[in-house]
Amino acid sequence: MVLDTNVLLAGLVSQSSASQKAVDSLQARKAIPLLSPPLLAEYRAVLRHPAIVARFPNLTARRVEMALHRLRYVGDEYRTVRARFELERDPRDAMFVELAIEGDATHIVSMDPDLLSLSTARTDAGKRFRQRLPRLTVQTPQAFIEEWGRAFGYR
Amino acid sequence: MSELVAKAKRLGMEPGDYALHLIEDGLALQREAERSTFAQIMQPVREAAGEVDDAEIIKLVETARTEHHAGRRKKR
Repeated sequence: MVLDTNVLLAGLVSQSSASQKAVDSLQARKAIPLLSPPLLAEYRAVLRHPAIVARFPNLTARRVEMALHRLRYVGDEYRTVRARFELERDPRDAMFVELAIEGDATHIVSMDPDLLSLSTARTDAGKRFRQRLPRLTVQTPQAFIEEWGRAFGYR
Repeated sequence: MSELVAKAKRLGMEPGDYALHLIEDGLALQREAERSTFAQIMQPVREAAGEVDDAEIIKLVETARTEHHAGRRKKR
């Protein structure tokens, strides 16, 4: 699976939410997060951003590095992502889709409406997305946990 | 490299010793992360965070991502 940065942050900092359950479920490797250097760089930059540190003062540099190490420990890391996918509405989101193509992901878990709409959008990007990733589901954390929560031990 | 030498000097250490210290610290952190769960690593953050709203997270991440990607474009 590919975790959008907003799900990672919500999952790390919240005590009880679908995102927290999705992140904590990675422990047992029942779901395997896919990683790449640009994705890890974005995770790090976002988790250490001053506005986020101001909101979550206990999210120290050491704790962020430990969480990222832990993520790499349970995840599959692609050092090079050769897949290319053009997303005109938000080119920054292309790296999530490209990593999903490279790692043959079954899920992208996101709270981004643009990414969530790709599975059904009648746009050029939506059509290309479904052609290249016919097995992939883009879900909110809530939908992901509703579908898989029981398998991860959540009721 | 010059930053490492300057920092070592400030700490009264030889640059080589300081580099070794950084590597050992990084490896210790890695070992600790491998033994810990996300819940254990994040416990103090989660306890202090209180109610966390998805809309708030989305807004914070959007701000941080915009700055991160703008910075990457400038570097190219």
